[in-house]
Amino acid sequence: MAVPSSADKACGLGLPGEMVDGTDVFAVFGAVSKAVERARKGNGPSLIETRMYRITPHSSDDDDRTYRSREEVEENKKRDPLLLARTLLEKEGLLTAAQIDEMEAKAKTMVDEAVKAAEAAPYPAPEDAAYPVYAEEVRHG
Amino acid sequence: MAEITMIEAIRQAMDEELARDENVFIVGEDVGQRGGVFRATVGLFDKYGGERVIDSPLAEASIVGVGIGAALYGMRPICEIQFADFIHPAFNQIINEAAKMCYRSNGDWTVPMVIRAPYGGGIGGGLYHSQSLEALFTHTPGLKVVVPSSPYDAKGLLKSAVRDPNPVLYFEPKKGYRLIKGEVPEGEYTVPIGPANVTRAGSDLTVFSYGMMHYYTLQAAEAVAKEGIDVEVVDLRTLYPVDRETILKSVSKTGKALIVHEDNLTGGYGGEIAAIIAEGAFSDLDAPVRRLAGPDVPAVPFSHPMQDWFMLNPAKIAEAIRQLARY
Repeated sequence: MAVPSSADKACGLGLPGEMVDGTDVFAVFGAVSKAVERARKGNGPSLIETRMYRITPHSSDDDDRTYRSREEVEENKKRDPLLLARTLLEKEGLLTAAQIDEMEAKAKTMVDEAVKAAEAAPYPAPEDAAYPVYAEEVRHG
Repeated sequence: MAEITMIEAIRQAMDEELARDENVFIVGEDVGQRGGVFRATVGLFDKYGGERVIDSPLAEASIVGVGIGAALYGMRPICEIQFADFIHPAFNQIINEAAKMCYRSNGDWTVPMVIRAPYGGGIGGGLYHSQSLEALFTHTPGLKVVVPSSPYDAKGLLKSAVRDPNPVLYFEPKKGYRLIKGEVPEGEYTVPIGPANVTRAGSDLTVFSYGMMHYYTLQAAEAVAKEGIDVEVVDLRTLYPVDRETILKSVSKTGKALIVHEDNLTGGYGGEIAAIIAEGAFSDLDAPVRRLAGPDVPAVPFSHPMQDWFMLNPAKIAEAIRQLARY
């Protein structure tokens, strides 16, 4: 990029642009809250760059070992926003470790159940792939 | 002769062309250090450096635009579009700039470049990693459109494409990258852009196809041979400009034509072949010209049963051959 941040590109669009640390959940919340408020007032969109590192490979087909070191990935895992948020919440005494564990367990159960339900669901009928190409062919309500 | 995969043949072609001509360079997403998402450029970054194997931003219009500019300057760019499905942002650069440059400048400026793009489905890629887009470009004079179906042709045609003084779209059947293997000679050779290839001689009917569907067509022809149907197979290889002579010669001999492509039927490339046959071999026809193609839906579905519904395969092609043979 020719500019330090994607947020700088907002200037040419006549929009407010803001770069925030994407690993800082609270900074992201602050920036997005401001943008949402602006949008709800009818003042249009905002551009926010939440700067962070992609910890996982791009997809299950992407062997990221070919283009970045394990050390680099491990180093950035320490900056996982979930981890940082957890540490801060505990440190500030807003939540106890037990409360966060419970939230995480609940989230895990939700995901596991969704996966189980998806895997148990039947495949669609192959010939249903013919529709809906056009609005007139939409079958569900 | 060594037996190699399609993707290895493509890699070898680029390696040899980079070594032969210092004006040749590669530009595309992840082509450098990563060696391409399909590994087509693996090793070339280390061998030729980052100034000749260039990692681009995720911006296809820019990949092709940079290629056009460099070609006008006298270089020989090989632009990689990671999946053919991503070529659409570059459509304006290809159609309005690359294809029209020679004509609009009365030949003062030409665009010797190759745009490589993996195409086709059957790989669980869903709507945006499975498209066949040749018909969008075979309607555009000024472009050449090539689709190889074997490692031998893939290497020889790509080398010809790099040396061609015009913009060449080179669509690679991605499902065949590692599935299709074949013998490739050690030494230097090229396969000319233009001529189709009769890959199986037969007398009952002719099947015209290209890319992955040509690979399947050969299997289908083999299957029906056991039932006594003698199929001639023509691999079109270069879709634009098309080899009318080989098409008409084959139909004149067999009297029946089936055209097979993976792309959807309506407005697809098969219509052009059917028209060529209707105009040039009408009196030799013993049956209506038939087309077997993908269904007219916007893309290959992700769900596996639905993907199978969309995709042609040797069994479906064999059935279409049987029907035409019975006519």
